[in-house]
Amino acid sequence: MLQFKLVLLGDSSVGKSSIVHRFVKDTFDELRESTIGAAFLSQSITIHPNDGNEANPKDVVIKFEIWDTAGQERYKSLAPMYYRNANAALVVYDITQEDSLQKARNWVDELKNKVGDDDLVIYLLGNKVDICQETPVVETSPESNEAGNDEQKVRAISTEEAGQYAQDQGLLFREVSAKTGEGIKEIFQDIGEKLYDLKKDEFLSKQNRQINGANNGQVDIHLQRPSTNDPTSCCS
Amino acid sequence: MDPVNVSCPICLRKFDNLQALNTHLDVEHRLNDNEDSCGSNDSKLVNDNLKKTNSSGKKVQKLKRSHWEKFQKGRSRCHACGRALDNEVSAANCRKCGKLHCRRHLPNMIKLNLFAQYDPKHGKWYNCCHDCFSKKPGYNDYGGAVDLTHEYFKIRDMKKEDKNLRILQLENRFVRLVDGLITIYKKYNGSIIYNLKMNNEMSKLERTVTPWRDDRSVIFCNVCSEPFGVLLRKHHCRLCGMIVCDDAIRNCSNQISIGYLMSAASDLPFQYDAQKDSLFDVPVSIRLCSHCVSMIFLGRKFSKDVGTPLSGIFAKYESMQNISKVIDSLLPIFEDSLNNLKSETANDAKKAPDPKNLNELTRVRHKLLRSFNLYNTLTRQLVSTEPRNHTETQLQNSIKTASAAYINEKILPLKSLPAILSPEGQKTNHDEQNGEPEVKKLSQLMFENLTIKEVKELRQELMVLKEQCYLIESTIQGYKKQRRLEEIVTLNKNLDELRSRIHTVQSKLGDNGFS
Repeated sequence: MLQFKLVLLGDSSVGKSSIVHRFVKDTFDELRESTIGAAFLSQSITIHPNDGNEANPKDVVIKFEIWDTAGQERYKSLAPMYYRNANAALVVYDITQEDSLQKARNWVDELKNKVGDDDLVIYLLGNKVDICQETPVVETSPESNEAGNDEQKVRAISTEEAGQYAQDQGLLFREVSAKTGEGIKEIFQDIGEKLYDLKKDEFLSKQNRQINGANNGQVDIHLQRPSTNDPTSCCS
Repeated sequence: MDPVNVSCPICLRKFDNLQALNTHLDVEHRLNDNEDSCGSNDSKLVNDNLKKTNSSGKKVQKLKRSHWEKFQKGRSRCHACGRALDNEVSAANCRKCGKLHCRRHLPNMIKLNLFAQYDPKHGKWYNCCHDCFSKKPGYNDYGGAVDLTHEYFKIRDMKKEDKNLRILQLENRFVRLVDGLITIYKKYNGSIIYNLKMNNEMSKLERTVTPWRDDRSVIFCNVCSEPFGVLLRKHHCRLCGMIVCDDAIRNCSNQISIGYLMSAASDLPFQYDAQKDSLFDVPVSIRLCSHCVSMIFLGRKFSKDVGTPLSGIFAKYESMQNISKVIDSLLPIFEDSLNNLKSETANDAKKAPDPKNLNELTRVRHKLLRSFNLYNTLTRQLVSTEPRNHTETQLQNSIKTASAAYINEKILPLKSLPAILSPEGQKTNHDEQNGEPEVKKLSQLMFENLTIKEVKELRQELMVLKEQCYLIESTIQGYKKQRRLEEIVTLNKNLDELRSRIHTVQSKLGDNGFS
């Protein structure tokens, strides 16, 4: 099993926590309270490394340790602690909020400056695509009125704009919706595969070592239930 | 009376002379309080009789005797001189402690109540031994103090009350006088014919408000005590009725317009409103002596002045004073720790000073430097303000001189700190040992000065870190219950990280952190 540290960054109320909860618990909460500090969650996925004729047909389980940071300015000082040593960073923006992309750009810059690790996978995510899919087609139904007022329901950042930026910076990019769950699973699959590619050699050698170690001196532990025949035993 | 045949009127025993009878009466029947001796109980019956006679007559209250030491012939000894007492008559009990003494060792008198307790107010005089006499309160307490604060407060409160009453009386008179004058003025307003009548009525009213002192009985001014004469005219204060002069220099009394007076004491319940009725131009004024003016108006003026904020250079000067207070309180602390450090380094030249002490010293020094800086800035601001008049120019100059002198005097010990550190640095340079980086670090600490903004940011960060720490701790608790041990390892790692960060921030903040 591989373990990766993953951190979510982005402006406040872009939907970082919603994305994580959609991924970990597959739920969506319309009235989520803003995160305090940084929340910790973990989830495992299975990937099928299909790098052709590699002698590793097995599925690989990847466990993500997810640090969902608070977007509010006040908690900014916490972020370095969590993106340090992270394997992947999800930088989230809200496609209906113009300046959330700018914040996301700032985060990307900070990550590149402070971490400077080529192995860090940065994933740019445009959240809340569900809002814009509805708008041109049907009238606003009250239950989907998530943002509360109409002008926020318009897409403010085009896919091309963000996509171009992601390409320039060498980021992974996807537009998702935590509400409908669109694209959420794929994000983590992408990250898992990408990280697996990067860490494959490390992982395999480690696995080999484990196999060797098991051959050399594995202790066989038998867990045994106490005998029920023993009259002094409390177990019967 | 035949001196040979005297008999006791109580027990009818016969005696040779009067003196023997007296002693018998004193000793056996205990008729004399002062000369009471130890009791002999051989005539109980007689005693009972005596009591009866006493109770039938007026009741005689007697001193308590239950604590008296019994006289035993040949065995009892005087507690003062230790001599054996063989004679009942020569032995006596101390009336206070009850111990037996020979009579000449009971020379002192003490006031006792009926329970043989010292009672300087209502007691009667009794003999007592020297011990009891010298132990009585107040006999030998040199250097003892009596707390008279309470008495003092009582007297002070009384005086204050008197003064308040006096002020109230004067205020009442003042209100009555002013109201009356205005009423009269309004009545005759504008008509010249009635002018005389108006003045007449006004002076009549003035005399009803307070009785005027008789002119003839007074030869000195009530305020300045100058003798009246041809040049020094007598005047009556319209509130207290005393006779005062109107000397321009001594300012004993003044004619003051009532409109002005009303506005100065606007909280008094006047019938008319000075502003509403536009009474400022009423040409009526009354004569008040300086005593009454200060009684009524001084307190009001004071509270008004205190209420209004200081302006211009005065406000600046006040904040300068506050800062100099801070400096004055910090300097002794700084000097103490500096001396400690000096003695420490003097004892062991090679040893680097305790970083904790040095830190403390640095911190105080920073505070001081900051305060001096602020003081200096304020002085400069004050001097650069445009003076409104000549006095303010003079004030500015004086403050400038004083503040320069103050800074020069107080900043001296601060200059000695780098001196104490620099030889330290040289020493370690010679040693070429690991002391050097430490000194560097220390000097870095020395000049690391946190600005207010930095302190604010650090505090914010500290708060966030502590919040997060708490959050992680509770998450760990939750995971423990769910037996998710792997996650707990990760979380614990994070918790350690958080704590070390908190520590760093706290040490950076030093004393500026939350207390």
